[in-house]
Amino acid sequence: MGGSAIKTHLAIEVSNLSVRYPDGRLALNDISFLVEVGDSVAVLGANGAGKSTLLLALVGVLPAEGEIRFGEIVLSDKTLRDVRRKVQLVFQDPNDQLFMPLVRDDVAFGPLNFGVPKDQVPQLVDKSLEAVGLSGFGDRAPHNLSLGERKRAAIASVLACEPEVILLDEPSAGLDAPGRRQLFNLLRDFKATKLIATHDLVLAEELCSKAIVLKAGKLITSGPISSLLSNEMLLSDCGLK
Amino acid sequence: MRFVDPAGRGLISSIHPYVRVYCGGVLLLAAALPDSPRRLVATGVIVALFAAASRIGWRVIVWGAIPVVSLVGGVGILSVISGMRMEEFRLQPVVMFAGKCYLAYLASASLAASTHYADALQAFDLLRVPTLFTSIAGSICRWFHLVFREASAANTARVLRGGDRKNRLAQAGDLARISASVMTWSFARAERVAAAMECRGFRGILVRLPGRPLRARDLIWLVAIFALLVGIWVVLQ
Repeated sequence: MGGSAIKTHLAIEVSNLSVRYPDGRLALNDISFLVEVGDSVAVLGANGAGKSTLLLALVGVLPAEGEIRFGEIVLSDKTLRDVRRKVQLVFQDPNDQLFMPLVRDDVAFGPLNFGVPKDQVPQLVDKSLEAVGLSGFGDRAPHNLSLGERKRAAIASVLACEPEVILLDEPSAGLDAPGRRQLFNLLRDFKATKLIATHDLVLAEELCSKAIVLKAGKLITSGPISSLLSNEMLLSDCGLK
Repeated sequence: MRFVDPAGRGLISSIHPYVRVYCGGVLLLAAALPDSPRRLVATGVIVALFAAASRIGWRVIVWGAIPVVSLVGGVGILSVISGMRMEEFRLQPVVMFAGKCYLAYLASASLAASTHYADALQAFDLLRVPTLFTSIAGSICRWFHLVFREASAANTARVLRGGDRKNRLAQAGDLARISASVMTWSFARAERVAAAMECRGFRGILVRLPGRPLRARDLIWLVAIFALLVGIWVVLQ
């Protein structure tokens, strides 16, 4: 998380990123940060700080000014498909992400679109469901699952794409204590680079080594999570405590 | 719209779900074909057996009669308005029309009660129905489910805040506002779903995994129902 990082070890490099809402308001204002390969970085901020917008901009869903680079690939219209092959987003509301009639159809959706041979997809689906502890749930309808199960199914649908970078938007929102614990264990096991947007400081502390803090669309600070979380004034100022 | 997983539904759950869908389709067609009361009654008995095996509740059976009566009544009113005289009225065609409509409803309701819509879509996939149609149908079913759940939640919130104490007109106004807001939310959700699809590489062509295997012996129920209907048709000439 800093300018001194060696470029070849960078998973994400964001420079001067700005995003405007359709009404012209700035949702993100001139944001720059670096994430190294394998890092888990928390994007902290209160509601409306721009966390979800940042994640959506990173996968090219929202048009943005500035430069976003994943390894050697610069995000643009031409590279969008390559970027999405490497970078996957887990949405805050699993209902947005699970749109197919069956869980296994949903998990298979990405690999089939990214051209994984059809005969390899069922194994990939089983592997992804197993990784999130949902073996045997493939033939269930998403709306018959609990919120925690839906969250894990949404994560499985992303894992099946075998991404190098996973972006997670408020992964612990709405989960009970066992569900949170299960999610923490699950996320901790992922080897991919993770960018986790959250205002759940416990989750951030448990899973992330570094953090960036957003407030009203601006990057306030970034650094090791322990030092940021010990700064009471910062947390209070950014609506995190 | 209510779709129930068939687990624990007795005999019907032992029939392959795709075969259930095809049987439902055959019964729907059969409901439309009878040209005499005897054939209609015989077809009705088979549809009733299908409904009984699907264990649909009395409420479903009774509620289906309301739109049928409304439809028949509406057609009658339109006929009178457009100049039909009373001496032209015949009871039998009316009963036949109402009976066919109700049997078609009963066959559809039985299928919906016993078979998940995903199985219905995959059964159509197996018949080489274009993926575009099955995908759109699947999305609509999923959308209905979400809208229904959100509308139920909004309605519960309305009732909990004393909305049920208002007069009927005010309640209707509240429900209209809920519907408008649920529809608006569903558009916002559609955008997020589209974003989720794009993120996972969707470019306009939906590819799905193949469905459950269907063996020749699974088709025995379809053959039996088809043979029964043809038998009735031939015997009751």
